[in-house]
Amino acid sequence: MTWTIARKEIASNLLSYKFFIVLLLIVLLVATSLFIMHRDFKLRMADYQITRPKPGEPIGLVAPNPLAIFAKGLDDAMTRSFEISTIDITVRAGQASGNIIYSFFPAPDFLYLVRVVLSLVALLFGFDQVSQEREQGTLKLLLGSSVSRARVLAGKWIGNFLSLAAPFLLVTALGTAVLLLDPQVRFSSGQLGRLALILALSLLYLGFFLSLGMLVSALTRRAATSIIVLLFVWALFVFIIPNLGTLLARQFVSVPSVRALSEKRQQTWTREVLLGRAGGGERSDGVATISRENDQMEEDYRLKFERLVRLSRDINRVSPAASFLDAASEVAGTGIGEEVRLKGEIVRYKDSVIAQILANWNVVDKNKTYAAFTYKLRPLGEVFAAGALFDTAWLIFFNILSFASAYVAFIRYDVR
Amino acid sequence: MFRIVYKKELLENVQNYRFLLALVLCLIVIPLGFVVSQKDYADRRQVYDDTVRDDAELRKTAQDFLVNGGAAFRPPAALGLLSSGVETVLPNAVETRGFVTQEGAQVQFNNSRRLDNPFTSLFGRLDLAFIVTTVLAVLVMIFAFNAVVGEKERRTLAQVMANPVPRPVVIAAKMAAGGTLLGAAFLAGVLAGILLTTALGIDPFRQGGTWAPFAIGVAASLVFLLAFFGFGLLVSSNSRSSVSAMVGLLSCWVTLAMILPKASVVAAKLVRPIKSQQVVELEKTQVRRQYQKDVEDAVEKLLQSTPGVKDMSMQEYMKAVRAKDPAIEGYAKAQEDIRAQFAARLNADLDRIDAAFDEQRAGQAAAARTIARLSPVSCLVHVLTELAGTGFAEDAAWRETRSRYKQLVDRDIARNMDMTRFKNLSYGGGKIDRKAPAPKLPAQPVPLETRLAAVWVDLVLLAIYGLLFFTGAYVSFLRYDVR
Repeated sequence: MTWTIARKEIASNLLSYKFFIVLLLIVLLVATSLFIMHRDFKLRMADYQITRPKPGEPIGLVAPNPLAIFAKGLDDAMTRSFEISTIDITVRAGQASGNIIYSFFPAPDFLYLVRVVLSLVALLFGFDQVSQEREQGTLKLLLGSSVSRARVLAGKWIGNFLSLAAPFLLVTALGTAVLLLDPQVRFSSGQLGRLALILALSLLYLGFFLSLGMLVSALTRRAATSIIVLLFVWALFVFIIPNLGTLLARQFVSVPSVRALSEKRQQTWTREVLLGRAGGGERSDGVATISRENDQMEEDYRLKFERLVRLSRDINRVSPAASFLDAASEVAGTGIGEEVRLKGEIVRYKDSVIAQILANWNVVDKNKTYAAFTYKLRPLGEVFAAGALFDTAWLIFFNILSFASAYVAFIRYDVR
Repeated sequence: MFRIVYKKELLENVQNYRFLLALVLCLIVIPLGFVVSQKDYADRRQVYDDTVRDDAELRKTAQDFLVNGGAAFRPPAALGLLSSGVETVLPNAVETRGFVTQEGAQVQFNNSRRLDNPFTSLFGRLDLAFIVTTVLAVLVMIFAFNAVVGEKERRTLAQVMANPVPRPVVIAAKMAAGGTLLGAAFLAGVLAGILLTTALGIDPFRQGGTWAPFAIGVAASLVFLLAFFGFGLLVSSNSRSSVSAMVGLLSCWVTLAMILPKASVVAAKLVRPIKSQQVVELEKTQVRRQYQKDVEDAVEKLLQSTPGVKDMSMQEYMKAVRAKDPAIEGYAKAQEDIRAQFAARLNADLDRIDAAFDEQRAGQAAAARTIARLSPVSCLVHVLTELAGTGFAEDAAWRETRSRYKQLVDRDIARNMDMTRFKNLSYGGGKIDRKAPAPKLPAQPVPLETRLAAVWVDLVLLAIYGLLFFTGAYVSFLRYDVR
């Protein structure tokens, strides 16, 4: 019986104007996003080819991540160049585009579409499932037969979920296939696996909003009231809580400003290089001290920064949108955890460069070369252990909670 | 009659919780956005003030400038709460690169920045432009989607029309009532935001000259909300069911807010492709290398063609310099002339590359802006961004600042340098007064008139869109079958 109701929902969706528009919307949005992000990726790749360090140069620079086409995350920050010198690590704008107009209307990546637009579409599929059927009088007819309310709700959920998920997956798969035709966009099998995981997370996220729509629909008497309440909740989850969480976390964890750090580095440099040299000290000792003290400062900063990130993340998790974005961007390798790890690797690279400089301090060689910086994304196991698993479980929990609540509300619903 | 229908619409919206929800949403989102933006601004302002203070300490004299180089710093935009625009990619400063030589200073933008708040990069900024075009636009849809079609479904429209009420009065009253409630909720949110930031001591009005652009930005946002409400009425008057109106509105919003502005950039890239900044920098480096080589060749040629000097050893040469030997002074003068001549050529070549690139960038940006204006969302974003000082006018001003700073450094430092080369030795101190104050270029804010001149078209277009949408809704409602 559940499947019969699901089929009825699919059939009624297929025949509706709503489905046609939503389908068109998904096609347009996913195609536009992939097209724009693909162009952006190609541009950044071209810039990377130009700016990549020559062999032997002590510069840390990573290539743009092809998965950033789907989940841009912090890829821009991660693809900046980190120039190592005896004094400091200079961060330069990396594969930046040539015109600020590109930053004026940043392209909505796939995650943005899912998080903001498709969540709204999922609500559109769910908001009238109970209240509108009551208004139309069809709910009475349906429940007049021997079918249980649990089956009705499950059938509605399955039917609507499939109506939403099928075009979404189809369009994404088609878009990805077109992307794969470009020889510059080379997805490894591991990256395709990561993409599949991102899609699975997207479905979990959309499933939650569908259940939420049905829950509110089962709590209201009219579809119009239901959509008003739902849009409010949507704004709360998608925009308000993630910003509020970060703001609140900043009240509890104080992180030194970048300027304060830079000032401390300058003080160390003045003490070790200017005053140290004036006092007749060895310059190589000064360089070693600068490197050591900068590392200590970086470490202190990193610990505080990680506390801030953890607390922000924990508060933000009240919203499934934040859990979804965190988990999906980490899986893509463009998340906050990956960026923190990259910075750690850059510091380690700087230490190795400084060690090489100090070891050959008295050797005059104009053509000094250094080992190239290499960086590999964290393996998926590590990504999940670091929080993505919790976020996934949290999304599943949100799904179960919202569906169970919808079920309870529907059982108590007065169908007259 | 208008007043009765207007009052009925007001009461209906208030009774079905729409207004309450709009008010609550505005009272949460707008103050939250203001606080987040202003806290961010306060942090960045602190950094800027510290930097300027340190710079005054570190680079007091021309001698300090010669040792440490120089920079002019860009203050963060005080009205970033209106729109963060392109502030994250605008330079923090212009600074000299390497040592200043008599060929002229190399002045570059400093774009280095650290990721202070990764969540902002992930979730986006909650500035007024985003709040209005995304959150409040959805709110407008809630108000408008069933304003006409909902009444038809409930069969109240037929009853209203059965009375001697002209249709224009009904649609005008709907527009006026919806606009009043939306405007009230929006202005209440803005007021709450101002009060909250003032209570926290982070209001944007501590910086002079912010009231006027802020007020214009709020007014433009209000016009946008009204125009979008008119658009909602237009869609509602062309739909047969509330659900299709909602779906249609949502699709239009997505097209206007997400597809069209982004597509405008892609279209501009296709129509007017340009090189990347990195490629331009490479071109300039090649020009400099060629210059270096040409100068060295010319100086070497001069040395070889100067009898009496070319065969001197380093000791003999320095002795002759100290003795002010006329042959050496003549050689130094000829070398100075060669360098001046080549420096002029180098600077002209570099300026030509920069000017060509700037022209291409401006052309591409103008094309993108023109295409984007098909969407009222883009018009509002442009207006708020320019008023906030985080847009194209600021970018242009900083490109000009780079040129002015270079001219200043060239005038005060580079042109007063006088280095002569003999074999591997460069010597000479020039005419620089090393105790003179270091060249400084204080930041000059872009005047409000310049910013308004950049956005007047968008402001006019916003008003035209409002009129067009309402006229469309009016015509559609006249033809609407109320049964």
